[in-house]
Amino acid sequence: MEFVIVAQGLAGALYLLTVLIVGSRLVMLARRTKQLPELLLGGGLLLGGVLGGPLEASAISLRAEIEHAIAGKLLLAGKIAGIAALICHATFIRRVFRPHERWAWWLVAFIIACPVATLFGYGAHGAFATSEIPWNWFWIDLSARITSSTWLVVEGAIYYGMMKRRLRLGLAEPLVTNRFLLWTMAGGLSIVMFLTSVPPMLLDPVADASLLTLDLFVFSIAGVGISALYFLTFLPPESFRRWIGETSEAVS
Amino acid sequence: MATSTAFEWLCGELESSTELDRLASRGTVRIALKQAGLDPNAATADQLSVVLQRVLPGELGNRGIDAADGVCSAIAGRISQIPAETSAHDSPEAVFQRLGG
Repeated sequence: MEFVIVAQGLAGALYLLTVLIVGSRLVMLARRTKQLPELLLGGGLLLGGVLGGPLEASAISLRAEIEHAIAGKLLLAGKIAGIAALICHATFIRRVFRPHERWAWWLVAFIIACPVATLFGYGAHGAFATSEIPWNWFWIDLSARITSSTWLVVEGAIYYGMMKRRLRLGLAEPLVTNRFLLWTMAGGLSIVMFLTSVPPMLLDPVADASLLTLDLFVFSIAGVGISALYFLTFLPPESFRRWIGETSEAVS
Repeated sequence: MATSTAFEWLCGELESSTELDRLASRGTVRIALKQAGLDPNAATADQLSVVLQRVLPGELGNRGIDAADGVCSAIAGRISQIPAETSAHDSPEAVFQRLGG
């Protein structure tokens, strides 16, 4: 169990460092290019990965050790940052992949409405005073996060398929084509990571300790996987660029 | 949503250069674009140029069009007539090109 907790801590730290580096780089890129997509993606990573997630996790994990009111305030701050991140995330997907589709606006509205409603639901149940999470609102909040990441995965997979066909005709670059695959895989692992928040809500900490240990292990694997995929997507090292180029040439 | 100017131009050229009617021309171009992984709403002249060389001749041949290569070459020779199109939104490919540096 100690090993898994250490692994979770290391994976969490690696994930935090990755989203900090990648998010900052994308925000700096946005300053240079004056383009919205990189700002939305970078801002979303910083708000959700560096602020929202850690604040919420701290509020829940430190509940027994710090004052409930402080834990509640951490939860409130984490939720607000998380909502801002979700707005950035969903708006990025809509703007990049479905800029002209009306249904995409409705999907963004749903993705934003769920956590906003959750914020009020938590408030009404006194969660920001006690950091105790109301059961029903937890699911509504989770559904928005899963929907957003599932949308990302679907759009990424569709576009990766298109890029592969373009690549065969010399209409796409191998590295950019691969970037859609990596981003889609990271989205899939994000869903896994979100789902690891479910067992602690459902299971008994003593009776189901082994399952909760497995949950921590899955969280760690997902965290490390996302970190690696984000680095390869947004900060690909020269050796990786070369390898993708060589692989593509060999295939063609 | 509106298809791209380049797509509309190619459909028109195909209709006037072959015995395909409007519906068949548009359907053929759509199938060719799909094979090339392109979106009719965002296809550009440069992309269509490659489709005309590599994909469309085969599709026209499948539909019994004689001298499909010659038809496509002739259309490709006029591709510079496509008016330049500006879009308020970058394609996902352009965005992801930037994101990885």
